[in-house]
Amino acid sequence: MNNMGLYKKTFSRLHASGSLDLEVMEMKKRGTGFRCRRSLLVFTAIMTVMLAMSAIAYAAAGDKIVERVKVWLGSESVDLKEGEISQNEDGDFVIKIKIDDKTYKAD
Amino acid sequence: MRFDIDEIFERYKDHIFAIGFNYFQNSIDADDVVQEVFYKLYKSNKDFESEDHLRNWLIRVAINECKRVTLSSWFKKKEPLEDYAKTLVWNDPEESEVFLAVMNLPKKYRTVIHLYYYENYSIKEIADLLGMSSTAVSTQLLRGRKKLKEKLLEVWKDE
Repeated sequence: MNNMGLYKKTFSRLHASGSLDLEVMEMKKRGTGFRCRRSLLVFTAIMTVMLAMSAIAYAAAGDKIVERVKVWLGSESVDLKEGEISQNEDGDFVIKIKIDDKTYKAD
Repeated sequence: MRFDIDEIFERYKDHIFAIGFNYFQNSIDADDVVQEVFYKLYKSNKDFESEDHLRNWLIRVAINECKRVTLSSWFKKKEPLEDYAKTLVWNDPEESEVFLAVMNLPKKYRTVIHLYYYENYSIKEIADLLGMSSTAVSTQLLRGRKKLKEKLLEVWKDE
């Protein structure tokens, strides 16, 4: 037997783990990788707005904070109007965003 | 040309495992490479011109994955090579000698030797896969063979 034959015979003894077969199946069931849920996107957007609002509030003069804030959810933009941003009795800002007939609130 | 991932997985998983094992010398990291390569294949939705094109793609991705994991500070899974070698069933004592001799080669020689003898690639193809010059590949192949000959004596024939 030549070197190539001997090498191939030797390394053909190596096998991937049997459990990998199941993992490939699971991959197919899950679909193509991780999908970001819409609610997670919204939550992230709210948190981003909260941070932005903190920065804006800090720079604002007097009681007037912001009149208009635009929020980006993925590729969509949503205008937050005045009525959707309010301040509660503790001085915390409360943001309500309405998307697809659902209202999301963050404070 | 589209291929059934299950079929491709069955046909090439051990090839990819062997590349990963050749690189890391342990089955845990080698299994991770297999999983990552086929996950990338599944995600890529790529159209291949032929099965050879697909095979080359798998091997290239496997090699790149091995390099990427090597650079990552998290990789340090170790299973002693000798422990793994004991789990393998050899038909011939020569096979176990060849296995241990190859695994004891420096990594750069092992990779070239493996692609040449197991995957049947030419020097030019190996150079393309590894991003090296053909001269460098030839040199590594020559040196790898020389070391194998020193270790294996008559078991490894002169070429």
